Amino acid sequence: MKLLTHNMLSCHIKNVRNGYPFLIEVVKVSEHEADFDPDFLKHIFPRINWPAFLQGAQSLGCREGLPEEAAESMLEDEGFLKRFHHALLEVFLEEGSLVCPETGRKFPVTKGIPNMLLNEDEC
Amino acid sequence: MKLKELHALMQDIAPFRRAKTELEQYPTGPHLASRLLFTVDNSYDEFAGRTVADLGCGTAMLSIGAALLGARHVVGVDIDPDALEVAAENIQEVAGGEEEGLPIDLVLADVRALPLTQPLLQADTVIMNPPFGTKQKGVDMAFLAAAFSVSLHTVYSLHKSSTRDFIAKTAKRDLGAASAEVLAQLRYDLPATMKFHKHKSVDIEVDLWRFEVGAAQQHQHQQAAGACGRRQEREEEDEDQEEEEEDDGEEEEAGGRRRQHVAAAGGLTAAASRAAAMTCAVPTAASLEALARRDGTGRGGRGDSEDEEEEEGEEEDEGEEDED
Repeated sequence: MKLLTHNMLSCHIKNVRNGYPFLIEVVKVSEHEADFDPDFLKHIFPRINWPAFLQGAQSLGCREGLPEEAAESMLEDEGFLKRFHHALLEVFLEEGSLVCPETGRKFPVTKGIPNMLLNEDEC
Repeated sequence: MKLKELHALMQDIAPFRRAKTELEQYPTGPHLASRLLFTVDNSYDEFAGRTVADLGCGTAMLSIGAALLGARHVVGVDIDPDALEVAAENIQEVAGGEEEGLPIDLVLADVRALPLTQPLLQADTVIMNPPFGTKQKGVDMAFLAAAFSVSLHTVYSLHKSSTRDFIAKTAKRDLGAASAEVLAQLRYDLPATMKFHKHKSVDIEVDLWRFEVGAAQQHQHQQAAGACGRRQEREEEDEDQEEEEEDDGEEEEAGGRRRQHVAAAGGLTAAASRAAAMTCAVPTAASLEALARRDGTGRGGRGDSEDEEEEEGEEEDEGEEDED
């Protein structure tokens, strides 16, 4: 699972009010090359929740070089784009868990696949 | 990529190891998959440089196709861990080496519940081959509601031709679609993968649909995003608006549409709750009656759908020549 996907997942089990963003418990991280496409990065940037992304990047060990706050203007900077691209699309959580920030409910990630299925009493 | 090449690629993708009746896990079939993918790519160019969600992805045939056609991020969602295991193997196989991966993330989740459980999940383009709802009534519509909640722009989906009118009505009235169009009618040559299939294969007439998500949906996304502290300001062009007037025979609906857009956010919530209400339910047992009806559609399908609309003509000239 990449951080782009992490950026769009949240915990909405019954009675949870603030289930975003997921904390990440890391067991294993891997890296795969992805095509570098500045146009796509510009396309996706406005949808990214930056604090959630940074928090995820911190957990996966690819936070370095990413600014505390991001602005549209940074998209002109090739160096920034490269680091953004890498953390967003090339670093994978292979094994670990997504942890709900409110309840601590863990959603296990196995072979890169997060299990977001809810139990009967959670929905 | 040519339709023929796509078709060949799709043929190499492994099907379900053991198809599950209750989940209606019919393999999408290289023919249907390649046609859907080809249309999205060739006629509308809605893969390249975009994010895609494949709902009920099964063994990831459509996800892999979308990634090969230039999608930059694909999320494949399925409720069945066994199917996702095969999907992961398929992805790895197509990707080849360890270094380069396909940009696909698989997520184990109940598609029907997505509007409630994963309101932040979104994609430019949603593609899916949902269950037809023969085993579990209404599941096809629950998938469609989920697709509308995830999609920012368009939804491509396959549905039985016999449900055409109902789909059109639901999409516009309940889901706030800006447009709903049957692009082609295809024949689903369903091999007898299920235990209850008496015949070697069953032909079902299937519509390839393209829906444009309405403005209300996009608004809803913004609200959902805002509620969770995401950035509020987003530059979203409402390309949908221009297309609205194109459809024929919609005049009487034109007035209602404004109101629809306003009401549609509520409509979606209702649809979402319906879908969610279903999620905890155990899939219902096979209804023999539904089955008989489906077989009936298969046998006489060609005949009873011929007179429905003028889409047949389009089907013929849309890339069919590439096939042979």
